[in-house]
This record gives sequence, C-alpha cells and structure tokens, in this order.
Amino acid sequence: MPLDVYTDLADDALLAQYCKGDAMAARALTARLTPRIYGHAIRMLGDRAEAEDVAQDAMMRLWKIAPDWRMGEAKVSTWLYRVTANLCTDRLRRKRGLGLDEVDEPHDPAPSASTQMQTRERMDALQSALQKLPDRQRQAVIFRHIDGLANPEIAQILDISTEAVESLTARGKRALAEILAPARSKLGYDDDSI
Amino acid sequence: MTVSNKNVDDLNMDALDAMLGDAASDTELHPDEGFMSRVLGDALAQQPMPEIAPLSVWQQITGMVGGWQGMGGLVAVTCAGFWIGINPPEGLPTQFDTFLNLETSVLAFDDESDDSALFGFGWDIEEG
Repeated sequence: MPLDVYTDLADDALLAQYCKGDAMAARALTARLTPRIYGHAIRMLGDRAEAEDVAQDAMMRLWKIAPDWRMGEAKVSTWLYRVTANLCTDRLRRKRGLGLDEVDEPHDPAPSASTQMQTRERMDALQSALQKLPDRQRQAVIFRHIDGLANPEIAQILDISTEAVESLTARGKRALAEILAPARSKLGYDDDSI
Repeated sequence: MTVSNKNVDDLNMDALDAMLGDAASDTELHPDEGFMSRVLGDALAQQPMPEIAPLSVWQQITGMVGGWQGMGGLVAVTCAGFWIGINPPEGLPTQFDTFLNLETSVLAFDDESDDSALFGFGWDIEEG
C-alpha cells in the first residue's frame, strides 16, 4: 500500500491493517495518536517522564486490544483519550496519597528558546494554573480548549453528560482566568493588545 | 481597546482564550524521537502475525512431488506406464507373462555359434 494512502485511512481502518501484520499501519497509528495523548497527559500531569509512561501504557493497551476491536462501534481516538484520562487520574490520586510535600512541582516541560521567551512564559504560567484546577475541570478544559475536542466526545470520554462538560469547562475557564489575572500584564496581555 | 470599554472579567477571559490558543499549537510539548521509537517498538512487538492457513492433504502431497509441475509429470508418467502395461509394444514381455515365467526371449539365430550339442540332442531323440 502506498505511504500516502495511510494518511487518508480512518483510525479503525488502520487498526485493522495493523492486525493483518502491516508494519506501516503501526507506524501511521503511532505517529497520529501518540502525540495527541502525550500532549494531553503532559498537560494533566505536568511532567514529561510521567506523561511518557502514561502515553506508552495507553498505546500498549491499544495494541493489545487491536485484534478484538470492532469496527464502527467506537472511535479509536475517543477510546484512547478515555484510557489516557483514567491513567492520568490514577496517577494524580496516587500522588495525592503521597502528600503535598512529596509531589513534584510542575516544571518547565521544555527548554525555552530566547526568541520565544514570552510565549514560553505564558505556556508555563498556563501549565501552572492548570495544575491548580480540580482534576475533572482540568481534564475538561484541556480536552475542549487545547485538544480541541467537541463536547459530546468529551462527554463520552469522561462518561458524563454534555451539560456536565459545559459546566466543567465554564467553571474551569473562570477559575483559570482568576488564577492568571494578576500576571496578565507580566505575561504581555496588556489591555490594548487584546 | 481600553479597560474602560471592557469588563475586567472579559479581558481576563480574552487573555485566557489567547493562551489556550497558543497552547493548542505549542510544538514544544511534542514527544521526542526516542519516545516515539519506543512506542513503535511496542506496536511491532505486539503486532499479530498474519494467519497462515494450514495446508490440506492434497496441498501437502502436491508439495512433496514439486507442486503442479511435478504432479503433472507424475500423472503423465503414470498414464504412460499404465498404457504400456495393458498394451505393451510387440516383443516386450507383459508383466503377466513375466510373473508366470512364460516370457519368450527372442534370440538372434546364429548359424556360426557352437550350439551343436543342444541341437544334436533333439535330433537324437527323433531319429531314435
């Protein structure tokens, strides 16, 4: 199969190809799905190593379930986001069990380039603010406003109603805005620039 | 646009929307190559092997004699042998005759050969 065909295939079709022993399908699925769940995990956990563990674990579960996947019943990405969200929640709960003193502070997940210093500062500030939100609000805000998922899909992932998703994202955004408000000028969001 | 034109909460929300928009396109949070290779390694290690259907008895037999070509040759030789068996060329002893020891040999008669003792034996009997 030519390489460009893989970019047009849906996730579940690629998974079917993967089950037939097609190594290119494995590559295409890895390249397509891993960055998405890794990005979500790092936003949730604030730590690269932990996000890698979660993303690798979630992908491993996908590979294992692939032979039993039933085409057309569920979206692969929704299922994978759900696994990732649950793994993140488990880790956050375990961290809380350790006590606040033992929890690592969220740190800069990537080195900042000098030319993008302010953008980096903004992203770090956002990451810190996200870490202060309750887990469900954080998940909802990340899914909706960073991962760009629609409310019905988020509702499926979090196993709640669409109305509950709307409420979570609204409350989450309000809380984020309040946390970030004092640093607005420092982050370069001057009144005239908005 | 100034603060006087806008509610402070709206400003905060606008700043937040801008930050979230930046975060959505933030490439700094992409996984590194090493990690992607590990995930791909897992994928290939877990990948089911393509199923190979077990060979039927017929396929196993044809395989043993060299596939279709071998089987074709074998059938041709068998037919030729069978035909020669039921309708042997003239002068060739049949399998049945060989089995009953009735086959006849065709010997070239050689007048010069010294078989006088054999021939003489018959004549003696005839002449008494």
